[in-house]
Amino acid sequence: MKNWKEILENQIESELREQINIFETQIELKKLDKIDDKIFAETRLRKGVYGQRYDNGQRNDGERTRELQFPSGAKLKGPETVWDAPGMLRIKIPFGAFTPTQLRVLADCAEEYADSVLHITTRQDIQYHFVHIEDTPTIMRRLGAVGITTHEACGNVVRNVTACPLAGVCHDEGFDVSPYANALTKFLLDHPDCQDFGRKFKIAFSGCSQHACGIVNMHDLGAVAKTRDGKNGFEIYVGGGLGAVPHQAKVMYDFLPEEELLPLSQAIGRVFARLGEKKNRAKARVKFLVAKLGLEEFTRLVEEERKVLPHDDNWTSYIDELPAWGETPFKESSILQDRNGSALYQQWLSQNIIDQRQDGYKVVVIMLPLGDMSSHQARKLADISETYVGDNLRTTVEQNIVLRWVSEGDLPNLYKELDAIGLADPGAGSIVDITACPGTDTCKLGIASSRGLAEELRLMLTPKQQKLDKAVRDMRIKISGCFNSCGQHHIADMGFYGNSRTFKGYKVPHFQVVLGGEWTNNAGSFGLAIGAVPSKNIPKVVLKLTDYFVQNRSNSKQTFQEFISSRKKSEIKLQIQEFTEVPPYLEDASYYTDWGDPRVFTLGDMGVGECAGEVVSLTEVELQSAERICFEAQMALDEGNLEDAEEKAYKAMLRGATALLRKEFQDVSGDPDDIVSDFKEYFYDTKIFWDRFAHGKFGKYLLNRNENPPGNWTDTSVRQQIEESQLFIEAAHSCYAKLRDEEAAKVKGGTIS
Amino acid sequence: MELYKFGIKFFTEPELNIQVNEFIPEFHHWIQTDAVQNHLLIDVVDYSHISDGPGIMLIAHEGQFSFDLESELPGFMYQRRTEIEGDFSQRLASVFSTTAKAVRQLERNSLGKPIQFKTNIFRFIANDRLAAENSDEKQNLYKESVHTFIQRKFQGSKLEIENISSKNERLAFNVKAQEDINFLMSTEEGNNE
Ligand code: SF4
Repeated sequence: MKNWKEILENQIESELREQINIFETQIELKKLDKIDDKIFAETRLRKGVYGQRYDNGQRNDGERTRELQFPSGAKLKGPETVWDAPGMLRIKIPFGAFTPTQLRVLADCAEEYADSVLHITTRQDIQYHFVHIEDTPTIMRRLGAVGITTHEACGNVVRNVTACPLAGVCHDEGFDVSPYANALTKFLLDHPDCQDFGRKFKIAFSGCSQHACGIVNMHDLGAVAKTRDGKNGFEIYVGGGLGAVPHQAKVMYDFLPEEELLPLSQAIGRVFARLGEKKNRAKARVKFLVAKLGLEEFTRLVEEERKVLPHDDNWTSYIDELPAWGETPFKESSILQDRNGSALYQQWLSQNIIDQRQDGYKVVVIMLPLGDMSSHQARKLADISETYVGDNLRTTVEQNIVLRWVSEGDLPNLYKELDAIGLADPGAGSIVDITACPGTDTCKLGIASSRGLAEELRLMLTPKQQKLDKAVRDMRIKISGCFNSCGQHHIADMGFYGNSRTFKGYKVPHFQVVLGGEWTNNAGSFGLAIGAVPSKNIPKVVLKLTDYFVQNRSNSKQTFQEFISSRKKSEIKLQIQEFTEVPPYLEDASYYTDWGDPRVFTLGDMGVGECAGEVVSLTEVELQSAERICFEAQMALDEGNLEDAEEKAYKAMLRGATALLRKEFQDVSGDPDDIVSDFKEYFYDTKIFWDRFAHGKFGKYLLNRNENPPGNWTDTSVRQQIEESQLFIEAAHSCYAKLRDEEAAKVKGGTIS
Repeated sequence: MELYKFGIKFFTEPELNIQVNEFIPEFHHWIQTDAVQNHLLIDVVDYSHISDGPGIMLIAHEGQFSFDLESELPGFMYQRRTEIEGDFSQRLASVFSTTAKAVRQLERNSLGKPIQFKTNIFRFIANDRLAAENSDEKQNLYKESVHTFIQRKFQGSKLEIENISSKNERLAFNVKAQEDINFLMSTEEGNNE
């Protein structure tokens, strides 16, 4: 029997075929232990082969932490990553465009090598979970044979280039950005100037600046379509990003002619590779380089680099082909004559259908709960697409799929066919269309269950949807499992990110509530943290805050984002205060588990809790007070008192450090320099404060602020300082929980022996 | 016949009125108690939000168990992922036995939730388009092998085999006993218990 490699030999583009062959050899070499763990990890990441939760070979089953005894034993595929442990495979879908033929192969591979589910990500990629590393070359070949690559889907490289899913059919766009996104994807893929980055590099295109489809503001490099004197070009943004500390991108060029797009990107790549941070991952994104150099200096360096770039025909060769670019409608345009139908159909028509610029055609949004679609649905969707739209399919950053060029008269039949496979849920782009990162389901860094919470909110809000006030219905909810913001919580009306709090010795899953992020205007502004609430109370928080908004807004046109920015933060915080309480375990144990997961959040800690008694420690009190000061900093920022806000953010970190010092020492100095010096000696240098993944990043926030007090204050810098302060306090909570765990282990060890 | 990536699915009785996610704690319990022999149980995944999907999954290194919702025919499926020693009939015996045991275990679940399966029908699903492409030739080959296996196991049973997969789907068919045979009660397994 021939294998897939032999069968597909001539169907894969030669360069990709060679890359896959090399990767397969690297896997073999790693099996022979001939490649260092770290090097192999970066190698596989660049092929989209990612780790997944529990791949360190350990899992808490709710009663104890177990070793997962995989047949490969101690063989690793990266530091602390067991060879046999299932992993994730990220598949790049440049600007979200894919075809029914590709979808069928994606469905087949999901069944044969993953868990039969295709997961759409917030970067228009598709992900598989529970994949064995040794299956990955075959998957790559099967996908490669239909023109899909996983190359550079992860790692410190240029990631999937994203673009508005409506590009080419949108009323508001300057022009169709798709061919430019396509050209830049091809140009930068494997480009020698983009191989030596300290971190990932994300690019997005948008057809206009007023809508959020492209969200260029949160990208390392963003391009918004613009025309000048009848010529195509781009408004260029640099240095944006979400992550733990969000940065708004800055406008680098008001107008860049189209022929300069590729060389400019290459020049930026060179500058980033040369001057970007390499050692400290936490500071290695373009946003930090732009912040460090200043936009002017960054631009000057890029322009110098641009001048000395050796000419490359590829910079402009695609421009000649632009007139030929474009999707052809699969069917003749038509008019929808009869809008009658069930209530759900009416709702679908009003929420999931977007007008195209081209008369007689519509875009249909398929809202995927949690961004998931089964292989069966995918295969049937491929058939449906071939009946109605041909190759005109795209993924979206809101984890949905759009069918473009639907002939309007086909809507009733299309609805029926989508409904038959469970893909006709109404509510696209509304409060029930919730974005969530993988969180604790599969992500190694997840703290709380973002998907569990998203599903809970979806189930709660869906039946109420039609009765909700329109402004509430149009809100966006986005959830991340931790501060890294893969769920884009900063740019939602209501965002949540996972954290945990220790309550009388028990760990309780929480979510930080982040309000007032702006989704429109290309993610025009970021939300601010209001306070942490137990995960199980978040649905009540959503209901309370939406109600509070409707009752108190200045007029029915005011949006939630406008409302939040017009109110005092203290007043909003008061609304959620009642939900911050955690009932004792014996009264309501449900608070001590996460959504969709019956395991008690680290059962070992519960034992500790009982040993530790019911007293609230001084450290816990101090940590609470650090949170309060941080919140006051936000309020000061709100009121425009930048210097005061910055000072408070610093004080909040000092209080967090004091809290930890008090755990170890009775007498703690009140002098900031002493606190920082003691913190450094006892918690930072000893790595006790270090996060398992972020290492010393959060501790550094305090050390840096102490060493370099600001001389001037801008809204952006103070906002960043507050974000850092919040993260420092989160880390202090984790550090305290870790110390408690260690104490408990010692006590337990002593008792047993 | 090199196929080892294949699955068996038993269907729940149609009148069953349960939410699949009610069984999430049961699968966690299976992990805690190492309830499936010769399997390294890893994690439970909730896909109950997908209407035509794998429902609730229990992921093991050797295979995947799912209380699945495919094509509105809820049932319990086991799909083998790793190789098994022996020829195809030995592999089939192993996968069939793992599935049947798991189904019976689910019926006796620790949650006290009543759940019943149809016992005279199961689905065979090949999950490897290379070893078992969905062609007439391969369909016949696997139908015959499964037929022989079942007749040997449940002697004298009259079987009806129904092709259910369309051309783009995996090779799959339903096996239905004409008499009142209980596929979940094989003699070998009876002896084991
Ligand atoms: S936000 Fe955190 S939990 Fe979610 S995917 Fe990113 S790193 Fe993982």
